Amino acid sequence: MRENPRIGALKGWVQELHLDDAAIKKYTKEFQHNAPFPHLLFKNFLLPKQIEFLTKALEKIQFEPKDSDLFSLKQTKDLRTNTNVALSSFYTMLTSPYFQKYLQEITGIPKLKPHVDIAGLMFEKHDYLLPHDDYLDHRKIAYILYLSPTLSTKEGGALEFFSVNKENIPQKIVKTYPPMQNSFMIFKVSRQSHHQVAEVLADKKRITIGGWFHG
Amino acid sequence: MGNKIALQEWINPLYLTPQTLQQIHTAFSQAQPFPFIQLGNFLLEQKAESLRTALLKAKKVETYIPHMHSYSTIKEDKTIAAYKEFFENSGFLTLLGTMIKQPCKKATVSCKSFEQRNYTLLHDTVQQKEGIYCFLDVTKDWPAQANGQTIFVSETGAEPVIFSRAWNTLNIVKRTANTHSFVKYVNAAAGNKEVLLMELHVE
Repeated sequence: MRENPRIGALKGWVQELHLDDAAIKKYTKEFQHNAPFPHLLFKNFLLPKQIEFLTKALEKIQFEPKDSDLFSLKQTKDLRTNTNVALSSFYTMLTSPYFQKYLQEITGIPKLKPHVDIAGLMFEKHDYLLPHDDYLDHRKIAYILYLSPTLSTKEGGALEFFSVNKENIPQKIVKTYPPMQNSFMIFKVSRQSHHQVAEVLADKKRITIGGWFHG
Repeated sequence: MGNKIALQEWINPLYLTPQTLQQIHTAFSQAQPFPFIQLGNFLLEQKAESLRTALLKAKKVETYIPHMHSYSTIKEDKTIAAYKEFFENSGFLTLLGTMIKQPCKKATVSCKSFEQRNYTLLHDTVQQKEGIYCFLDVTKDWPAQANGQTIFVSETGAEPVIFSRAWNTLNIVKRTANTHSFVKYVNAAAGNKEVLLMELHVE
């Protein structure tokens, strides 16, 4: 029997349990039904060796402190043109027709563009990102790959989702995802997708790679 | 506004001399990118302490619109009402007018508290009022690493003006249409301390 070409193309990166038809059917349902807006957290998403390569790659890259009314964090430059093998292969995987088709099937969002934003983010003790919706006309799906070791609820750094009222004004936190190593979060970007990253309370680093798929 | 309240019973006498008032005006009007000044030890020490104690004890009502702000408004008790009356009185408004060489007819006074996880954000849909904005800061022993500063940014791209938390300071800012301010997120280093502000919007 011939292997599904998607599995063939992605299995060097993504754990196979996430790639078969049954998994995709389950994820499609979960993505649409998850409240307060469509989203999905894949646990143990990449092969462990790839997490290790990406983590090592980011260790060699400079994170610049960023500070405003909305956030206090550290960020890399745009990683699209980074020449590190792990990072450039990861970007190639993200922008491949196989991965884009995979995301399209799960999210139901058609016609993603091959352009994907990608940067590394680091939150250290007392860093945070306050509520915002990410909304820009062409942004369709936000993604976050968690690289650093898992933080407990008490250690902070959780991704928190807000409910909204009829005017899309955020109301209260209704979903909390503490940072879990090798998990991959995707959510549909819209006027409803209000979220924040809670302050990191421990002397630990919360390191992720993230960005947006455009349509 | 009632009868003039005796300024010397409230304010550091340093700020009541013609020479100091002239120096304040010069510094205020020459400040860049917009007129501002911070006056230290503004109230008599006992008056500042008494206000701080009252603000700490008063009832607080949390206001939380996640993408805009998170802080508490402080309900007025008898002591706070007396301070409010002082800052709304013609005696203080005349003094303020002399400092900034601009007529000050009316002040609207309110009190706010910022604790751990509180903040305000700049927001496209909120037009901050032009004019003279003052805030009396009676935050004491504030750990600088907890943030919570009041920061003014202007659309001209100039460096932001940062008012760190400072005990018993009167901060005066002339806000223009393109000047916006926010209070930086108060992080966990604040512990159980809180920022205590009495704000004055002056017309």
